[in-house]
Amino acid sequence: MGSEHLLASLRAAVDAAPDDVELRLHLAELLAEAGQRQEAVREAAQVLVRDPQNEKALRLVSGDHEKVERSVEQDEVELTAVPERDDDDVLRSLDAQLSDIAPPMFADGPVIVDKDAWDIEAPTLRLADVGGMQEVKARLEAAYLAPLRNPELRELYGMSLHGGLLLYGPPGCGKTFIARALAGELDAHFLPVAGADVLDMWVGQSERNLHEIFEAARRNRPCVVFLDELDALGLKRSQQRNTGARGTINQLLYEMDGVEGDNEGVFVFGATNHPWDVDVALQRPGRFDRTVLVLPPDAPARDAILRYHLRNRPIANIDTGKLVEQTEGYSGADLAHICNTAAERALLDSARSGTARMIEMPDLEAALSEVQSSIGPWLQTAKNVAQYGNEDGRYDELLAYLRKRRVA
Amino acid sequence: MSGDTTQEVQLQLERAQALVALGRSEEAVSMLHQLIASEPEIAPAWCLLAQAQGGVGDAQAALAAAERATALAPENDWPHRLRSAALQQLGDLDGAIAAAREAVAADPDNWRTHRRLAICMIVAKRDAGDALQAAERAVALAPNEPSAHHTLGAAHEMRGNHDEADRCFRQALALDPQYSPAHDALAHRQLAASGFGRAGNLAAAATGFRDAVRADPRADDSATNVERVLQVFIARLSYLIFLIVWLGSRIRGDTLGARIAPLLLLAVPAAFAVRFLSRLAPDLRKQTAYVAFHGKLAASSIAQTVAVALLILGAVAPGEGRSIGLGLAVLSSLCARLLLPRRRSLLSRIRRARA
Repeated sequence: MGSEHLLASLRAAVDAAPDDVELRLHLAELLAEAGQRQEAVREAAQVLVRDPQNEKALRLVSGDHEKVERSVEQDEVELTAVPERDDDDVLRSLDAQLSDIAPPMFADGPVIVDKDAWDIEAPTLRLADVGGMQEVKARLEAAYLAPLRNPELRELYGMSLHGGLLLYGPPGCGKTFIARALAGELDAHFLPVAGADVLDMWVGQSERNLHEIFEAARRNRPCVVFLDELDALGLKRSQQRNTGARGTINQLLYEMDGVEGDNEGVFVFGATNHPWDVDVALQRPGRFDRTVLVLPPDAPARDAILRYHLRNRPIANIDTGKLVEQTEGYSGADLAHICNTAAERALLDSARSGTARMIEMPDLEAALSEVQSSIGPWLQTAKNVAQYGNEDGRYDELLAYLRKRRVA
Repeated sequence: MSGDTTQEVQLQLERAQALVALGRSEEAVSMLHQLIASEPEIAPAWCLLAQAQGGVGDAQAALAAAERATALAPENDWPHRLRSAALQQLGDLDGAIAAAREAVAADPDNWRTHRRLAICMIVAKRDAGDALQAAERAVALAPNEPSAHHTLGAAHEMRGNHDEADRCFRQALALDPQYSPAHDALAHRQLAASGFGRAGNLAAAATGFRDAVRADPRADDSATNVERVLQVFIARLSYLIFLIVWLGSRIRGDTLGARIAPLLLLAVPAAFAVRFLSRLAPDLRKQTAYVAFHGKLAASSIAQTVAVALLILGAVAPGEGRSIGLGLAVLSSLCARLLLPRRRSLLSRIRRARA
């Protein structure tokens, strides 16, 4: 009964001070002694979240706790009777027991550094992995990479790396892929904040969420924080009636300015289909003041994308050159859709005839006649902005593209 | 529902509301369908679905969702307002007005209900007095809401109180300089005041439509209207040039006065153009040049430029050269006129983007 009281008061104390490792460890030990093994492991796991090297917590979780406690009384015979577990065994045991509480200790795929809060990917891509898109690469080099790689020149020309980079363009044209590749060029981790996460900032505790994102990035520097669908986060003030977006924007500005934390080695990239909807406060100098237009894939990029989406499929006599010519103005997502539609057509045909056949040019041409470019509505709005909302020339490049395509 | 379920439903509703606010209606529709499949008796979910369906342009689906919401919460004004909006979109203006009246009855202290009623009446072009009264009530209940002032302006406009309408539109802009429909409405007022020689009003109309697009890049009607106003300017200028070229060609004689007169006449279209262009921002001036020399007006503009050049050459040319130059100028100017779309048809095509 007394031990129950003690445990109850300890639990209350831990609830009041959740980051007090010693207190939590003490609770875990008492729970283990009281035979409440499952709860003891949970508490020990929480200790490990805060102090991954804590030996007592490691032993508690791996089930060696009893042996440690009894070691003084134990004779050598009993100790040797239990086969010793090597470090790998302990770690594997930990992994299994804590899989739903603590981050995994090893991962087979991309390295997950901060699984408890946000997925942080190790750099794997380079800009060279992005097929075609030479103009975009050149713009990225000029706007971001060249100043970064040449600190002396940067100083000489008075350029600052402070602030973020905003990638904008029609949907499905590879902004996220390019951001990942850019993170690779910087040898930086990549912390993507997806649209759904951004949306949740409207309904949850956005300020705290944003702070946690930037803290995770600071812990894993060099790190790129990639805010997808930035327009959703930084909606224009005039469109914010009845929404809770203001606090989110202020917190983002606060984090970008590095008021609380040191942002050295933290790069902030944003992506949006609608830069005109992004709050002006986010576009001022020192914030997302460098913008790069990511247009629909050019011919080499379309060729690479088509080949990628056809690579593991049974194909014969595919003239990608012809397809590339016919898909000017199609997004990467549209090209993937064309390949899928062609595959479906061949599959259906095979099912009907009872004989499997290859995907051939007629399938792709039929798919092409079915799938229209999805960027039409985007082009219309982009045209409005480029023609009538371009007083400072920020959309000159977009306007030139639209005029080249005879949209404007 | 358990406490956890209630909380989850609330979260889903907030997410859907955020999507609707962001204009991501398709995503909202998909999310709400999932929510409604598991919780079919939640009126706000049906209301949001109606709003989202309206956003994707499916008025029939919006009406069905609004009717379901009305059945679940008949005492609430929101479902009635949504039903009214959907009926209006479907062209059933009597039904829209009736639903709006039900919304007012459900919550007479809510400005949105009065505004909805006013909008229905304005669109139906009937009961101007009632529309004005409803819009005034909306403004009284929400004096800081730009959309209420805009609706009041539209109600005044329907009754022919143009000065009052202007004042209301300006008040809406004072409350929110980015309120696109008010820019658009004022631009229409300027256009209505722009007679043939009123280059200043025409420039103000172009600027107003441009401001409407700038405030809301999705205001496609306003964007189309900027271009059409620029085309109207080009058409009027072209007409003036044709008139001047024709008059210039009629001047006979070889005196200094007879030679200078056609050149002096050119000052009329020049003054018109200068007055218009000087009132435009540089980006709109550039756009005017682009509209004039690209696309469907290009041939006409080039022909008219050639006509002016020929008029000048003809005026100073000796002997036979003069009559050949002036004759060709008239011919070129006539071609330019014939290549232009009709000015009246341009003006009539300038559409009104409604709130």
